[in-house]
Amino acid sequence: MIKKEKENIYFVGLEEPSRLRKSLLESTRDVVDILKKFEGFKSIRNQKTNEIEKLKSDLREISKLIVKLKSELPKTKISAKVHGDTKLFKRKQVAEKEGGKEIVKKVEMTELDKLDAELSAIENKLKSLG
Amino acid sequence: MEEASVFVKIDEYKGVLGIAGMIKNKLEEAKKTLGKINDLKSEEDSELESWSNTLNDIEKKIEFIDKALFKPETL
Repeated sequence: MIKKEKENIYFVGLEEPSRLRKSLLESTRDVVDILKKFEGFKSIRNQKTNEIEKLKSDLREISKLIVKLKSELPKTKISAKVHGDTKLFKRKQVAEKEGGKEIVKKVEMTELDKLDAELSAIENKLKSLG
Repeated sequence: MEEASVFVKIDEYKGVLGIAGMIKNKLEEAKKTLGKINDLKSEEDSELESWSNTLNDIEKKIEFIDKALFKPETL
C-alpha cells in the first residue's frame, strides 16, 4: 500500500530555479517599495491640498479687496447699467401650487451658482460699458 | 463722446492706494502659492511615473514566473 502511494508521487522540474526565486523576491521588494513610497505620496498630496486651500483663501481675499477698492472710489452717475432680467442671487423660487396656495421655497445657492451669477453680472456691466 | 474725469479726495485716494497695494501683495502671495502647487504636482507626477515603471517591472517578473511554472522541464 505504502509502496503504491510512493509510486503516485510526481515531481515537476522547474527551469532556472534561482532566477525564479530571485524574481519572486524582487517582485515582493518592489511592491513593498511602492507601499513605502505611497506614504510619501500621501504627504505630498496633503501639502498640495493645504496649498490649494491657501490659494482659495488668497483669491477670496483679493475678491473682497477689489470690492473694497470699488467702494472707495467715488460713485458717479455714469454707472454701468445692469440688465433688469439679470438677478444676482435668486433666493426664492416658487416651487409648486398646493390648493391654490403658492409655496415659496428658499433655494440654497451653491458656491458655483453664486460665482456664475457674479460672472454674468460682471459680463453685463462690461457690455454696458461698451 | 469724451468721458468726464473723476476726482478723488486726497485722503480717500491714499486709502485707494493702500488697498491697491494690498491687492498687489495678495496677488504676489497667490502666485507663490500657485508655484508651490505646481512643484507639488510635478513631484506627484514623477512619483506616479516611477510607480508605473515599477509596476511594469513587476509585471515582467511575474510573467517570467508564470512561464517558468507552467513550462516544466519534464512531466
